[in-house]
Amino acid sequence: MDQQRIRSERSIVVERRIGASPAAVYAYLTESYGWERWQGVGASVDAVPGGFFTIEMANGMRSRGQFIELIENKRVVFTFGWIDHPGLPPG
Amino acid sequence: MDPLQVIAEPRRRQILRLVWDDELAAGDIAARFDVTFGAVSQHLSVLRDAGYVRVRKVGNKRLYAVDKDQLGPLRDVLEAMWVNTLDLLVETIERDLATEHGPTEDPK
Repeated sequence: MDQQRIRSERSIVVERRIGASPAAVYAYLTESYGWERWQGVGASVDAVPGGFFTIEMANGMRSRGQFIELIENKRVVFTFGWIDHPGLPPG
Repeated sequence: MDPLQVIAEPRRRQILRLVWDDELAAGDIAARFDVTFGAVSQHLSVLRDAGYVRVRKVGNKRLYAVDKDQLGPLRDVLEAMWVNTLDLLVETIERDLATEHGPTEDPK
């Protein structure tokens, strides 16, 4: 019951199906090249649990996050925030 | 006001931290700041209008607390952000694969 409430009110669920193999998608989420293609003009990515990533966007904004959990080709958990926006800071 | 702009103001974030676990009256909140009561009261009404804090009347006091049961005004912002970001991920990967641009794909 509590779990249900948290899921409905305190979380956001966005689902997308991608026409690619799990390995290809995993690579985009764990390699600098993938993050750069996906989100920005520059990326540094240390895809180990506890490792950080920093993305530079074309508009000059920078985002940063920390990898929490990685299961190869299955699951990538990370935090996300904007370095230059105090409203949504990293962490 | 844009929900992110509301919490971009450092004093408003301080207020949110103060009433995160405790319910406090406006006067008690203002007492922790070196700005005027009016300024704090103004921040409180911005936070309340945006839906970040709830007000409960007890006697002649108005007690403020963070509405932690929901993401409130941030829900729409965050949802829109991840919808856009994930759409972009889908497009990027599918386009890269179509043009053999991808990082380590071996298509089956």
